[in-house]
Amino acid sequence: MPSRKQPPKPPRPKALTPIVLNSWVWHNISVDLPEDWEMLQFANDAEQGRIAFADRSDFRLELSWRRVGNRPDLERMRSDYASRLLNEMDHSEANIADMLDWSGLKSVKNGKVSTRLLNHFGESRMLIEAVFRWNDAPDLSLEEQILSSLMVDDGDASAFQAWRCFGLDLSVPSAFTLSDVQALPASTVMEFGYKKPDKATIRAERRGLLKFWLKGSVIEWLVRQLPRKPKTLESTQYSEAGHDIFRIKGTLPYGSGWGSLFMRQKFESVGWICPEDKRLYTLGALSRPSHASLFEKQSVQLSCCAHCVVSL
Amino acid sequence: MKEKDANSKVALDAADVWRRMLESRAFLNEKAKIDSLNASKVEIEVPLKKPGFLVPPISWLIKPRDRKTIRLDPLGSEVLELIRHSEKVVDVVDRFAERNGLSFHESRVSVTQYISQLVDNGIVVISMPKEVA
Repeated sequence: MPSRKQPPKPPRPKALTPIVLNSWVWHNISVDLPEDWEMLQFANDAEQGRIAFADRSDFRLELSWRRVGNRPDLERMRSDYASRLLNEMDHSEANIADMLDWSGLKSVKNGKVSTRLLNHFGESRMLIEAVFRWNDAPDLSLEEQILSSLMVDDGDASAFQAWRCFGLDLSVPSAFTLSDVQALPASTVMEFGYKKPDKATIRAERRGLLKFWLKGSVIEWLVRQLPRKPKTLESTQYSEAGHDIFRIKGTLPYGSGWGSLFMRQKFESVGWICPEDKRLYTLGALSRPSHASLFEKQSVQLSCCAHCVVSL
Repeated sequence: MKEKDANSKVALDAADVWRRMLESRAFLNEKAKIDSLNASKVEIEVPLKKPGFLVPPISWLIKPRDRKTIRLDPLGSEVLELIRHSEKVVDVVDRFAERNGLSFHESRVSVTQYISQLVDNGIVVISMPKEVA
């Protein structure tokens, strides 16, 4: 029987598993990323900075931002960048790889492929660079999905700023600026200050591993978090979408000197344990009485899951 | 731009370090003696090495401790238990994340920090691969 030569089999397509995307918002830059990409590095500066996301095995995306006056010449930046990659940074190739309205370069170093894309967002005057790092061939459809989701909100135009990071989904008034972030394993604290930090502050926390450290009730934890012993304190408890919410409010002495005899700060804090992820969420505001109006109209909100949004 | 490139390089180096750590194997020191106080607290006796300067006649006068006892907190006890029942550090990280509802990197940082403390105390020994693909 004559042997018939089989035609070569076409390459088997990759399994099409739908990728679940998580939404991240950092300094008014919002982007949807695969669920297992986590933010491991971040900068606090709104004008210029960088955040980096990694999956289990490597860094996958770096986003850098810089506020610039006018739209820069992106094509020229790309060609300068290509020559630097080839001549100074030992990349073996650097080819044009534009995507959507982003100017891009695909480069190879030590067999690993990177895609670098630049875009300028006119309203916010923000120059954004996205660098994707791949082990082999780039996942172009994922890159496109991510880039099409990337938006920069013009922060000055709205009364609130959104933050979605490290499991916190937070909304604070635009008048506040991020003053500190402590992102440790199972413990994230974000602090915001209003102009001078002693006038008003907002603090949001998300903490895990409760079985190892949380002794006592959520209300006791909220009181322990206050900077000083309260002068007046009232506490309430209510339920929202299956979450037991604990709220405390009252006044604190202002400072520790003579001023503490006469001057007061107002505080209000809420805390709860989300039954979905079993983590403790807290949101607190501290202000001089003259600045208490900053927190009116439900301007500070924290959400732990799709079912529960808590306002101060 | 150069500062940004330097940051990227640091990030990539960090990824190399964590990949090597995850592929390594953690073993309990064979000479460590474990006593469970209860389900969540563990006490471990670890033999101490005799200092090199302790030769006669100094060793006739100075008698240092030959063992030290370390009491682990509940978190440490859980990590130690996972080390005893896992092949690689990455397995410990995955199981710790699953048990405690942590993300992969939250668990990785917690577990690897704890393992390095256990190594410093002579409770655990790490065998690292030379290279990780």
